[in-house]
Amino acid sequence: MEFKEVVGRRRSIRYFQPWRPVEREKVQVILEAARLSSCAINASYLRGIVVERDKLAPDILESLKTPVSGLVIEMAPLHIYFYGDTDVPNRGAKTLKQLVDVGALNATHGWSHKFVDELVFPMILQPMTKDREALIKAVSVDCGTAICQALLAAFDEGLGACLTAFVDGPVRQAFNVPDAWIPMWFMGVGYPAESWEAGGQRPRPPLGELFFDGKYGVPFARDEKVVEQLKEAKMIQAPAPLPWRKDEVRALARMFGLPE
Amino acid sequence: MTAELRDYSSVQTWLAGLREQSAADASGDTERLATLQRFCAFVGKDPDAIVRECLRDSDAGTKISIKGRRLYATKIEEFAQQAGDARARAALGSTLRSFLIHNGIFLQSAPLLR
Repeated sequence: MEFKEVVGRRRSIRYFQPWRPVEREKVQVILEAARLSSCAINASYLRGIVVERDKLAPDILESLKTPVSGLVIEMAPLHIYFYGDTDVPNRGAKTLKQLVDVGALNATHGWSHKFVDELVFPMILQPMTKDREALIKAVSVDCGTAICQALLAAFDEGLGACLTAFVDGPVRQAFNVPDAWIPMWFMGVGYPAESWEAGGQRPRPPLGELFFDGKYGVPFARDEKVVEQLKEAKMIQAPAPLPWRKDEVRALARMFGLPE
Repeated sequence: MTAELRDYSSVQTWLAGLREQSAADASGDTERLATLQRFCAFVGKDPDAIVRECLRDSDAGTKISIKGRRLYATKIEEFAQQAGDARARAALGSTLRSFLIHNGIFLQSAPLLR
């Protein structure tokens, strides 16, 4: 699938074929996509625990459910519990110097081993580990970037996925999560039981409400020619609700014995 | 129950929600209402009282009562046991969960076909 179509087809899938496992090769593709994401100081903050639902003991599976995500946890055959490793900036000097060594950070832009060792690490990275707010911001942004790549990779593999929050305690206990990791998102993955359209592309605010041209208050103008190109490339798709969506949901409710 | 089931505001909210949000037509109402009526008798409460028990007042406004929601989730499970097979139990339970859900009480249940 082309990149634009992957972006266009991604939407939160909440009905999975519970009986159909996700092939291990596809799981690896998802994780590789996350591994290659952009990350500050070349430090990979994202960590993930991959869990096959059917290998969980019933009491453990039950403990992972939250009032809001219980159904997705039950239906998705593959769970990925994403965490951010707050200990990573402590290793930042090494990972930054790797970028110098491979020619990604160069003297042309002011970078050197000495700058990293004597300024960046002691003056920026080490203090950041003591500023909880700054640390969580840095970890969260980079984890979000990596999780997004994982999410898109899942759709590119013909799977469906849904991100949701999870309750840290039971997950930490069940999967031996290190103390330095902070919870990010749970990603339920599987083959969709609903159609891939899942009712159509979700409503979003107009472009000019979100993005500004030059300064705040000047909406970024939307060129309709570009919109047409994106429709052609399947990045912009038919908006929800598609006319048959409610019938589809009712059929799913009946198939899975769920409330209407 | 002194009033007709359809006179309760929670029942009106439920039926309106079914029409507007779930595209369920009125053909199933007789069965839905009969199920709710039997459940009300089972717990000894009218529909509005059941919904009220699942909510609580707080300084920030009305919230879902964890205790109330848990109580009725359990009561629904108990009530549904009287149905024959797993699919019938799920259908019975889902009708009652639908009543609470359309009245703003967030509930989920396990899917069939694991």
